Amino acid sequence: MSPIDPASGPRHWQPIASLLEGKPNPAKGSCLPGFDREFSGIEDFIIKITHRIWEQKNVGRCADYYFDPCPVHTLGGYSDSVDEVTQNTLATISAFPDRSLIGDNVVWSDEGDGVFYSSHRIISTLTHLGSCEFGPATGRSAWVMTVADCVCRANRVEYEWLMRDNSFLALQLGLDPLELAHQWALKQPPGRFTSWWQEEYNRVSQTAPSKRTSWPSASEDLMQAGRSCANAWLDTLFNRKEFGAVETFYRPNARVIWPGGRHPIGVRGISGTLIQWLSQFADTRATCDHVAVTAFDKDTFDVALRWTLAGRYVGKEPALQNCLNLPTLVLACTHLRVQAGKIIEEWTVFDEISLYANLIRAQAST
Amino acid sequence: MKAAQDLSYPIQRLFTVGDVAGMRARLLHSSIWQQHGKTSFGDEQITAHWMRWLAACGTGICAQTNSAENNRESVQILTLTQAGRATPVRLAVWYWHNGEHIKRALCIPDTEMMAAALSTDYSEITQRLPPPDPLVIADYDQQRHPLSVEVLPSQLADLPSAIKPAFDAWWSLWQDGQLAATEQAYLPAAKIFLPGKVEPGLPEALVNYSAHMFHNLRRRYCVPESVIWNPQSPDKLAVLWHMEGDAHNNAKDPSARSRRIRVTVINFLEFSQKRIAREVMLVDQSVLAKSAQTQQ
Repeated sequence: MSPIDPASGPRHWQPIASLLEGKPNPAKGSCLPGFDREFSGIEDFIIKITHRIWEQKNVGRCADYYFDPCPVHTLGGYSDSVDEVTQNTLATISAFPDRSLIGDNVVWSDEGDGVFYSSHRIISTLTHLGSCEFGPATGRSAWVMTVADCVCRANRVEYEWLMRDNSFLALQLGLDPLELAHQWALKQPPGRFTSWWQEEYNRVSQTAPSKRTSWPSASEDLMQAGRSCANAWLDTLFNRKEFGAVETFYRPNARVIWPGGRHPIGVRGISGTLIQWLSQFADTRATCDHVAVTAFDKDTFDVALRWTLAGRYVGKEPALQNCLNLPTLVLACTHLRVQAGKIIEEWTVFDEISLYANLIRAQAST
Repeated sequence: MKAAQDLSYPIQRLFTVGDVAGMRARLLHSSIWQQHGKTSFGDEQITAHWMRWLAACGTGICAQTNSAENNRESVQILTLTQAGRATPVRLAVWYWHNGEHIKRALCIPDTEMMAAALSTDYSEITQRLPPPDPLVIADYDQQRHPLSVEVLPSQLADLPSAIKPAFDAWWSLWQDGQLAATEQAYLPAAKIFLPGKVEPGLPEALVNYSAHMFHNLRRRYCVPESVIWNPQSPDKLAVLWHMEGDAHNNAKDPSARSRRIRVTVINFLEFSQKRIAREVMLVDQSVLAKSAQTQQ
């Protein structure tokens, strides 16, 4: 559990300039074994390297802060070469020249032996001014939420899972996400992606049903409470489909951001959103692949859970009727803010366009 | 509440003299500004909201302010007038803060008053405004079942018994469509500033307004997001809430004739003799119109 410095309050309220100027406290010594002394903690490391590489557009500095190779998994592809990451970033900036990355939160965990796990929620603002995977320039301005889950060691990122809400971005650009999915399906991903997808599908779909996890009691310490929240949330809603539990898990006026412009407010809307989304999959199994818990303020904590869902597509979308019963996989990350035993805010991110593109591509190959 | 007052000043300065720098200084890098149903992040996108307003309405005098605040949230309702224009424009800014910086601000301008102030056709004003966020409002069971848990706005604040019954009656008007609840909620001569109206109306005017809204939104469900009440000003409160429902249009394609939409509402209520004596209600009608028509 990360401590909250009562003098400065949570980082949430600190202006970016003070976050970037933050220096380690000599009295505390080095907080991060194996990392440069300029970083006061893993949160500080993530905020600063994100700013240097992506916001200041020093994309070549990936070489300073990433191992090479560094596997980067997304639902749309795979890369492990720093050169490839650099080239992809240049292409993105070329199409979205004013892209800015706004860090919204970092939830992290100490994995031991100098290894740290960070889940960084980022808002990108951008204007679509050049051709890219979203097609020719639309001239439209938009924002998109991304979560980058990184394993960090010795001053570098050594493994990453990247999730972006591409369907909401497409909608803001005036594009039809399913039409875009059909276009993306034409592109063949690297073989390493295909094998990863199959391994993940097998792993998740063959996972035995978990024991029922209880929503945390008031007596649990925050770390244990955060883990219980994550497991109960995923197991109860996604595996057991007990949507009545939404009233137990969430504050009645909770706000949720889900991919594709699904932004429900209140338990009725949250329950409806989950039911509508899950109704398109059968034989689903969801696994909680990593949990991190970080204190937000004195009575609130944040949970980051990376999860994977496997199942068969049984949705009603006319454009996907050829894909019925094909296997499908979702790589997602959810951030929960929990106060007094209830979720007050949630941010869930996955790439819905790649999800459908993978289905369409699988159908084409059958 | 000195801190909250400190934040009200740059908001008023923004809309009265165009003090963009003063307002910007109170936002964080990750602050959110929502206006006309569009969510914006970052300096460029947020400033575009302000400039759109200032270009359309100019700067002016703040003729009237209503405000409420607690430790983390504040709301200001400004009535702005400009020399040479007979009609004022009303807007509300609801903001979440730490006394020094604003993390999220929700701005609801009264776009009907805006059109009247500019002597412009309402549809022309609507066309000038940005499209709202392409939200997908899920279908769900909007009915209240015997054991379902419902949240009342009065449960979101520690309200005194002097105003709670009238506030609950006020909510039953919106949540249950109980038009007669105005009898328990309002003084007979209550002054109610409805959206688009410069002059206040009586409770009968509210009944007509809400009945019209209920007729146009089927499968309606209301959810309160927040209530601001402060024991230092016990006879007033502000409530932020959302109404979701099916809006109907005249699209040729029958499948496109109904769209599920969300209307965000801010009400500022003042109580006297255990009833509502004065109310200001803010709805951005342009969001309603665009959400109902646009196929995202």
